[in-house]
Amino acid sequence: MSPIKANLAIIIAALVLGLILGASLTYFAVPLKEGTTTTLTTTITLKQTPSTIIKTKTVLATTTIKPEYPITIVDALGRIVVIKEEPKRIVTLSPAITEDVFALGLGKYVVGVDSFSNYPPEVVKLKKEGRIADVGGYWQPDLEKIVELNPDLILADAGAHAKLREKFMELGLTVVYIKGGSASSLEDILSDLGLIAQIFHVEEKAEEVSKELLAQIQDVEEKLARANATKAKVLVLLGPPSWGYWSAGSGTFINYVINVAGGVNIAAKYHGWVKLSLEDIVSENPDVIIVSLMASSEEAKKVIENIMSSELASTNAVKKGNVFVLINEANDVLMRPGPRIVEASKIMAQILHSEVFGEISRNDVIKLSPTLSHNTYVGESIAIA
Amino acid sequence: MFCIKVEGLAFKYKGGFGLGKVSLRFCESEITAILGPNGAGKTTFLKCLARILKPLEGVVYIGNKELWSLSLNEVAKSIGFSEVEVPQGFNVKVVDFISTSRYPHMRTFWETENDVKQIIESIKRLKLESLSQRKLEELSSGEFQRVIIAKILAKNPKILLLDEPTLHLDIKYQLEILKTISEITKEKKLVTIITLHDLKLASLFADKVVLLKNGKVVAFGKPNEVLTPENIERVYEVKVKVIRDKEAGMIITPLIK
Amino acid sequence: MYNLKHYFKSKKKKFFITLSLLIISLVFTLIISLSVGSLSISIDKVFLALTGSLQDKRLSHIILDIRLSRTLASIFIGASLAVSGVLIQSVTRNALAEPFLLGLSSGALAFMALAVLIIPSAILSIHYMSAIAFIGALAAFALTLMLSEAVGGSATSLILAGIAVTSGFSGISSLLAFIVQAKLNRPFLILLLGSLAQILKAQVIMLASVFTVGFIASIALAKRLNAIMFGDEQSLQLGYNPRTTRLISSLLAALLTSVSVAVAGIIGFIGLVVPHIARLLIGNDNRFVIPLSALLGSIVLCLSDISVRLASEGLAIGEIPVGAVTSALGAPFFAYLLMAKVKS
Repeated sequence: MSPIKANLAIIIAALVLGLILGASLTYFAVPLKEGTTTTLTTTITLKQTPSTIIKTKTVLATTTIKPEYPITIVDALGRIVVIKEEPKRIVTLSPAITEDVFALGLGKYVVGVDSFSNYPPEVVKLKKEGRIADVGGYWQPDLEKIVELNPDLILADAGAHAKLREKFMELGLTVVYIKGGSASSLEDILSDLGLIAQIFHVEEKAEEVSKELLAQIQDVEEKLARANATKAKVLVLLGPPSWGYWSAGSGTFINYVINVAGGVNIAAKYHGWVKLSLEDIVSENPDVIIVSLMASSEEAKKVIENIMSSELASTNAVKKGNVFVLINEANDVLMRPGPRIVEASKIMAQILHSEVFGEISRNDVIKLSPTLSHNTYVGESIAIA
Repeated sequence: MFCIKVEGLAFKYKGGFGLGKVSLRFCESEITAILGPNGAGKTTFLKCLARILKPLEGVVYIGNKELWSLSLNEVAKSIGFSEVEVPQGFNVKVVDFISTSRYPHMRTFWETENDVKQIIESIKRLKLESLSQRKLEELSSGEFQRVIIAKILAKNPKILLLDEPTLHLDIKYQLEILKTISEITKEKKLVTIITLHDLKLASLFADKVVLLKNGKVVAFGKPNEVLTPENIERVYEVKVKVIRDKEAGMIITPLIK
Repeated sequence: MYNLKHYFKSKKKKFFITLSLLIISLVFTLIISLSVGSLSISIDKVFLALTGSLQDKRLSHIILDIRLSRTLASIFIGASLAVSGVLIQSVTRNALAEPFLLGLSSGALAFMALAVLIIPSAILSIHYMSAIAFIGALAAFALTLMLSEAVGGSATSLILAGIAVTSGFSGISSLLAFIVQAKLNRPFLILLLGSLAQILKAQVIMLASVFTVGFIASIALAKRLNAIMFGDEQSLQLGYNPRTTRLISSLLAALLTSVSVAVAGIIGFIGLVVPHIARLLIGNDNRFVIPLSALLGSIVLCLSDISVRLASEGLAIGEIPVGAVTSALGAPFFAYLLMAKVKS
């Protein structure tokens, strides 16, 4: 064989070897098809109508007829998980999940939360007392701490924690994924609540909570409709502009909040979490800019000043002084796909439509100076009767 | 008797230079010097014999086997080739550099007693004892030349193909090296072919001489037969006078007037 | 001659002593690695757990199912990367070469980005992503090799081909990563920075097997590598075809590196720096350098991983990828090497 042919043969052999090795890796792979097919963005498409309440009721009602334990559920990743008996030691891996669990009155079972979980206030207290352990950050939970707690249920976020799935299984831990960050509306969040409730047979409590949340949302929407409020064009930034113009497009729960609050999300033409270009923003010309981040109020003021004197100065928002920064709790409620999304909606509604809800005066919503007539938006308007 | 036979060897570089058809015979216990002006094809010819260049035409027989039918390992064991260019390398000691020469013979992972013996012998032969622990980069070009020869010797080949082995050496070492090569050739019955520039050295040490010009063999035979003023003028384009002296042997000097 | 004979024997002796010392160090490092973490576990408990007689099942679980996988992974990856570094440096005759020269990392990245674009759910499985990274790295290497062979198969052509392929795939993966980023919730690049956080047992087995094969093969090549270090012509003189040596060595290096990239992303500098340390200790003979590099590599990476875990505890910012640490530590060493090289 000529040298060239010999070398080619070796190269091909190498590739084949690589393919075989690679394929054998997938043999070891824990099948994704634990149950049904998986997509990260399945959403239960319930329309936002008053009939929703009834619909949810019916759905939840059918499951209470089943026997207590063991119970089989399908989680947000499409996995079929068998819960053998009532879990008594829960670890939650995101702040939204923690809030879900406590909202359902299951706080007594929580033994570990991520380091960002701080609501309800008793979580902070229990953490300090050492009765709830800190299992590390949202992106990288500490597996050792989790194992140490010997939990019988881990509640994780389908987006952030999916890749831990195989390791959890190897460690013999039961994990249930909820939509969390991939929720696109209140309905998704409610279905998360419903899933958790299913595991503990507290569907009635879930119903109660859902009803209450929906009612509050409806209240906001009705008030806006009655006042014939003109929709405001909104830019939501998920961090300071120096990080880039990160925003939330369609299919995100933040988009949902903007819509409920009587706004139009200028990032909605994109799907998911997106980095906008300056051109995009300037051409859309938002009426309001809302920045949500973790900072002190001094830092927040600086961010506003930055924006006012930056390339965004040509937008209506800056011209009219409609630049707001959400910090602390206001930031938390907007960024967490949990029950307090309703709070976030109310805050945003108040920011966008002070003419309907009154001027906002929270110490975690920072703005520079009292704005002039910020409820006169040039933009899309619903027909004024 | 063991001989190398070259039949109709022809080679061409991309630039056009090369060797015309060369047919020669080199036998054991003999040193053959290849002489000729720059660009005559001396190094090319040597490389063809060393299986580094593949000839366009013709065959090289090592004993009765064709050169190109041998495996790389067999060639390595039989032929010791040295060239003018300095091999690169990391910071290696002389003794370690020479040791690698035993690889073609080594069936074991580590050097055997015999391997070590060969290495030490070749170091002694080239008087490199005091230099054995020095790093290659620290040597002068003359010292390095001797190391190369020692390395080839350690390999114990049957055939020595040395390209300008006396380059960079002062006269003392030139003579010493050629003397050593001569001794080993006779002792171990090697076939030795060296290229040289110096006609004097060739006349002193070579048993046979080849005169090359433009890739063709102009003359082949014993030195005092081949190195005539006519041949030298033809090949080198200089007029010389050849004197035979009882003590000094053949003296070849150029006539400048 | 007395002292020359002695020389050969003493070289071997020195090697075996160094080898033993390093093996002992490795064992120490392994034990320490098992006892360090968010929960400090005492050494005697570690030993009990290893022999299966630890009463506390939880601790045993942590040690055997989390820490052991991680520790073994760092050991095998460190060793694999170090050996592939030796191979590449020998075969390109370049002291500043490292395995990622061959285009492996950008190939892995590009394939991973492509996979996630085509099958978004692939990112959910470590196994799929590993397999894809592995195939991508090897594919890039195959391309590099073919390019190099097409232009002569010399040491220089290998380096140049690697650069060409790296740039090509980098471009592709940058484009793709930008698109992928919009679909995922977080920067895609974090996948490639090298983290040992969630090693699965199956991955450890794969690492161990590939390393064993690669290591044994490299040792078998040791004399060839010694020969090629003096130039292609010298290699022929010793009966070894330099192109074959280059081919097989780079193939082994690619395999060893690809499997590391597949499991833990890009961990730089081990392949570059560890061979140098080994050579400082024992000289240039690859028969010694390869095993010592393997041991040193595993110790270095294991220690880096230990420090990452300790630092993450103290700083509480989530885990630093170990690739970042090795790069940070490697940079000053690399600078020193560069200066030494320039001076000489």
